[in-house]
Amino acid sequence: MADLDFETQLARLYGQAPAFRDADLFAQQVTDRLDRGWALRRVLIGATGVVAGVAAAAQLVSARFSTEFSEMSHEGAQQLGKLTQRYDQLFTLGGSETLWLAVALAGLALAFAVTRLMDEV
Amino acid sequence: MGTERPPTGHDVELAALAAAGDRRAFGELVRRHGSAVRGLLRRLGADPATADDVAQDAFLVGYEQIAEYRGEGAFAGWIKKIAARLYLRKVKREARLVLTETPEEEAPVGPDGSAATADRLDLDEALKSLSKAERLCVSLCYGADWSHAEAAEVLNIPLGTVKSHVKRGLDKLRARMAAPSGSASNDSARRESHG
Repeated sequence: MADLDFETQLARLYGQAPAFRDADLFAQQVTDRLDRGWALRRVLIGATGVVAGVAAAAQLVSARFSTEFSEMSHEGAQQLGKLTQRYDQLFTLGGSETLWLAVALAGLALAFAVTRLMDEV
Repeated sequence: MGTERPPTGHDVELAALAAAGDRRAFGELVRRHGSAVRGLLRRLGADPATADDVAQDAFLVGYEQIAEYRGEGAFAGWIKKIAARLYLRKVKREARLVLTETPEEEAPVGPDGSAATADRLDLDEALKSLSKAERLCVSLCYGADWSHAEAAEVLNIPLGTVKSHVKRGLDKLRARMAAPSGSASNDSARRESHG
């Protein structure tokens, strides 16, 4: 019985919070840390949102580009088909026409090469 | 915003508000129970600076986990358990916790015990007469309301060792605080059934 009395007394003593003169300061420090934590969290959430937004925008742009590119490729394939037909006709052209076409292509290539050279210099 | 009055109400209501994101409600809980947590940590053996640091951390953890508190027990008990766990983790990490050996030294026992009354008892002074392990075990079981089994599990020591520390600690406290002397064998049984 005495043991239980002592235990009760001990539990009661443990339950009595000591008085701290800086109790208000302590509470303020905790709430400040909470506020800081939330401010940091907001910044992180905001930054994550920006990154996610940029990624989403990039995806949209690339998806649109991809669609347009595939359309262009489709058109390009048609053009290529026409060009092949003309290429086939090329060999059916006469010798002088073939020569002039070759000269034109060579001139084009030379102009391209000079332009590149000038860019590099 | 800064001029608003802090919320009032029962701890459970404040906890519910805090769980809904009301940091001012949680601030009120800190104001109410901050001293109890700081006091417990000091009684566990933490120096004042460490006790305050751990107490702050405990409240921050408590805020994160506030949704788990549904008012089954007192808020003070709930937050004290968190604080005790954090403190034990800290001392374990810093390898400052050696509890498995049995201290043989006899701590000084106070006045011969016959004349002291409850009003004169000073728990904090009496705790100084306990070894570190005894102080920790007694304070966990009586201050943080842990069972022997919980203490053994968290301290990672055998249950029997915890019981020994508690028994020796209670004997010393009883002598120190001038309570009627007697066997402490019932104490352990009660704590076991309590947990």
